[in-house]
Amino acid sequence: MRGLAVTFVLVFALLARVAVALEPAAGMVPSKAAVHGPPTEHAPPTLPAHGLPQSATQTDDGRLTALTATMVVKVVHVAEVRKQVLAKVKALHGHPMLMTDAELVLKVPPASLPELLELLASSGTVLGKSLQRADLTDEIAQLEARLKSKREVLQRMRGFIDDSNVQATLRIERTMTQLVQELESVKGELAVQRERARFATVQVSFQYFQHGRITYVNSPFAWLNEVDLDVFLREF
Amino acid sequence: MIRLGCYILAAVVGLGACTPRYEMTAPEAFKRFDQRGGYKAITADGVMLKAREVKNYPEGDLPFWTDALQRHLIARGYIQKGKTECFKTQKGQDGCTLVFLLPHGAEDWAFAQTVFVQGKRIVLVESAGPFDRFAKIEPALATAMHSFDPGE
Repeated sequence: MRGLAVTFVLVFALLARVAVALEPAAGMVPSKAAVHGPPTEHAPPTLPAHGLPQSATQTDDGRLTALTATMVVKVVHVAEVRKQVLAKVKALHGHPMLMTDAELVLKVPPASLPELLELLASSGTVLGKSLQRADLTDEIAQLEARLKSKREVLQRMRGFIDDSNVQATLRIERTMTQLVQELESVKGELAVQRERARFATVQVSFQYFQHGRITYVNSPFAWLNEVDLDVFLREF
Repeated sequence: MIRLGCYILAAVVGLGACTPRYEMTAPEAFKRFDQRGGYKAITADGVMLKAREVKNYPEGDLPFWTDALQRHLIARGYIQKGKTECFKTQKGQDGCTLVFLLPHGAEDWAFAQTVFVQGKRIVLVESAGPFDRFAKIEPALATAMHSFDPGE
């Protein structure tokens, strides 16, 4: 009888895992409740009680998004501008992710993004800029659903350990170990996605040569074909 | 023999007359090194300045050639820095300056073109240098362009 119960639990765990794997295919629409649901047990300490990331990029309809801005800006004194930008990022409660002579990757709260971009634009000549927004709502909702489902299965399995024989206990433990690994993996993915929503990423390049390429274009006006830096340097 | 000498002298004088005499009060940092009528100058850190001319053919005015130059260089991948700056020289000659940025080796360079259209010729004052060095001298260079005399 006990063996039957253990078998039942193992089959249930297997079915739960299959069901979770099929979530998107089954057309599970991430509900707002899933996004705004109760906090998970091991939520990062920086997250507020309602489970939403602080300063997350959230649109009017409640969707979570990741903002990425890129900017190529030519400045005369790179070191000075870099110092100013880093001070501003600190003041905006952001942090740098990468700092080289030619490049900066910065994280700032989404609400502060326009202020930072304005500072960058005013520090030199903007040669290129772009802003990308990725919707993370579905992904976060699916990860939260997977996490919830796995936790429930794990909880049920714990209840059967006390009543099982050694062999069944070993099988349950093996399954539980596997489940815990999966649970940690989902938690990790969830943390990454929440972090993406919590901070906007700003990639600043002070060098144009990394991005541009000069091509040969023939002009119908002959003399214009001789207006070229290489020609200028050769004939100087 | 005397006649041959006269011919040679006349030819030299004639050639000299054909060579345009560009004049310009360049910023102090520039040292002029082509005194034969052409104009070439360079700074200690390598920003170069040069004047030359091409035929105004088909005959166009300053806005026409400024527009053509801008479109051509942008199509090639040059990035225009700021807007086209048009001005009048001290002698009343209209000119327009366009500054472009482009990658050159492992650096970004600035390449400026100032265009003057004078009858059958277009006079170009070109300057170039690594961006940071060019940017330091750019305001002085823009002021100096007002003193440029494209000659006859």
